[in-house]
Amino acid sequence: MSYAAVAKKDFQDGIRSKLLWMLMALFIVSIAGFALWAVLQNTDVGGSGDGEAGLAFGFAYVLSILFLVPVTGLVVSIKSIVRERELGSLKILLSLPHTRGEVIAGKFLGRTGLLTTAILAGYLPAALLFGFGVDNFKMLDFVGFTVVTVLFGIMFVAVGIGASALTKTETQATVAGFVVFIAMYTWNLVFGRVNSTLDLLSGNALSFVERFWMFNLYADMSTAIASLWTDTDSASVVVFNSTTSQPFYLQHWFAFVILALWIVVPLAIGYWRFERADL
Amino acid sequence: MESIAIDGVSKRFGDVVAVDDLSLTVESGEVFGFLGPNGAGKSTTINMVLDFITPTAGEISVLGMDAQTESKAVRKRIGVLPEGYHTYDRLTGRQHLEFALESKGANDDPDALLDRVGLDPEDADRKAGGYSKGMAQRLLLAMALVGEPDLLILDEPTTGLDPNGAREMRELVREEADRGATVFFSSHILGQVEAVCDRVGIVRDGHLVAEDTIEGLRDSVSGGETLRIELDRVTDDAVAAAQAVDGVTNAERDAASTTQTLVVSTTGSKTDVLSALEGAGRTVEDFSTEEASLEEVFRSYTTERAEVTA
Repeated sequence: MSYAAVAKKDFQDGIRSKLLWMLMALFIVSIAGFALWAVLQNTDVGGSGDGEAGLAFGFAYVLSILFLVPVTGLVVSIKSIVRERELGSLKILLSLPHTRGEVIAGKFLGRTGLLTTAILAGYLPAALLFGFGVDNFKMLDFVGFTVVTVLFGIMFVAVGIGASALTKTETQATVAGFVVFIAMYTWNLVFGRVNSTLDLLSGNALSFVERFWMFNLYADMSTAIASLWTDTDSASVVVFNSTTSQPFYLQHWFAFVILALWIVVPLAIGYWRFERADL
Repeated sequence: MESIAIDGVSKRFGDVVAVDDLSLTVESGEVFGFLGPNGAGKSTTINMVLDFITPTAGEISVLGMDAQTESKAVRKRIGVLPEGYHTYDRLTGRQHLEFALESKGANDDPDALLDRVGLDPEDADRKAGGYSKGMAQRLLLAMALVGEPDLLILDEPTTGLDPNGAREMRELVREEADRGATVFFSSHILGQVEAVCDRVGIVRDGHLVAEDTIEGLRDSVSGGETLRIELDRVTDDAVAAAQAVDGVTNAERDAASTTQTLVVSTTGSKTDVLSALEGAGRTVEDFSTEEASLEEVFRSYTTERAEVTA
C-alpha cells in the first residue's frame, strides 16, 4: 500500500495550500452561495418555472463546470511532481521504498482527494440547502450531477499529473497546463478545422472523435447517470438524428470509457517518461 | 559481506563525465567516509546507488541486490539522508515521520526517534517550513533512522549543523555502527570524517583516487614525519647537512616563523638529522615532530600534484 502513504502525505500537504483554499472559497460562494440565495427566494429549483435566483444558481453551476472544476483539477495536479523535483523533496519521497509508478498513483489519488474536497465544499451545502429548503427537490439528480462533476474534474487531475511527470521545471509544467487547458476547450473547434481542411473523417468516425470534447463528455456522462432512474434516449449528444439505434461507441454510456482514456493515457505517458528520467 | 559494491560505474550527462569508471566496496558493518571536493562526483554516485539516476555503464549492488532493478527492495532496508534539506513546508515534523513510518511499514516510536536526533517534541508539531537548516537536517535524519536500516546513506550530513550538532551527528553514526548498521556518508569536510570513519574513499573529477583507512592514507601520503627544529641560526650549511641525511625528503627554513626554524620531512631517523645539524656546527635549541595532518592528506589527493602518489 505504498501509494496510499504517498496519497495521504500529498493530501495532508495540499489541503493546507492557500491557493486551494481560494478555489474552495470560489466553490462555496458560487455554488453554495447561489443555492442559498435561490432557497431564500423560495424558487422551485430543478422544477418548472425557475425564478431569477434559480437562474443565477444554474448560471453558477454551468460556470463551475466551464471553468472552476477544470482549473481546480489542473491547479491541484500540475506542479505536484515537478515542484518536488525542482525543490529536491522528491529525493525524500524516492529514498523511501516507493517505486516511481507508486508515486504517480499516490499523487493521482491524493490530488483527486483535494479536488473532490474542493467540489464538495460547494456542492454539499448546496444539496443540504435545496434538500431542506425546496419542496420536491430532485435530490437524486443533484447527486448524480455532483458525481459526474467530480469524475469530470478527475480527468483534469490525470492530465495535470501526466504533465507534471513529463516536465522538468515548474515553468514548463505551467505552460503545459495552459496549453492542455486550451486544447481541451477547443478540441471540437480545432479538430473540426483540421478535419474540414484535410477531409479526414466523416459520419460515425467524426462523431466519435467529437465525443472526446470535454463538454460533450460531461453531457453524455450526465445523461448516462440520469438514465439509471429516468427514461432517456441512449445516444450520445454528438448524434443529432438519433431515431435509429446507434453503435455502442456512440451511446451515452460509452462516455465512461472515453473518460477512462482521458485518465489512463496522460498518466501512462507521464509514467513512461518519469520512470526513465534522471532526477 | 559487501553492503555496497560499485563496479566500473560511469555516468555521462551529455558531454560531461560526472563519474568515470568508479569501483568501490563498502563492507558490511563499517563506517565509510566518501570524500571529495564539491563537484567531484560524490552526489552523482550516491544518486546512482539510490536509482535516482541510471549509470551509463557499470553495475551497482546494494545489500546483495541490484541497485536498479531491485531498488524498492533495497530502499526498504536502507535509511537515506538526501543531499540538501528540503522538507515539505506545510507538513509538521511529526507528519514527516509518520510518512516515513507508513512508507516503510515500521512501527518505531516517533518520540524516541525525535529524541535521538535532538528535535524538540514541540518543534515536531510545528510546520517544517519554519525550521532552521539544522532542524530540517535533524528531522530528515530521524526519517532515515526509521525501521532500523541495515545501511545508512548520508549525503553531506554535517553541512548546516553547528559544531555541537556535528558532534551529535558523529555520536549517532557511532551508535548506528554499534547496532550493526553499515554507514556510508559523503563529505567535503575532512575533519568530520576522521573521527568516525573506519575507511575512506577519496573521489576527484569522477575518479576514485584513494580507498584506505585513515592511518593508511596518512602513511601513503607523507611516508613519514615532519620535524620542526629550532636552531641558534639556520644557515645554508645546516639546510644542506639536513638534506644529505638518509631518508630526508625535504628540508627548508620556515620563512613564516619568527624563530630560526628548520622544517625537515623524513622517513628515516630523527636522531640522524639532529646529529647532522650539530655536526655542521649548529645548536639545536628545541624540536618537535608532527604527523601529516589529514587536511594535508586530503589536499594532496584532491589537487593536481598528488597524481603521482595516488
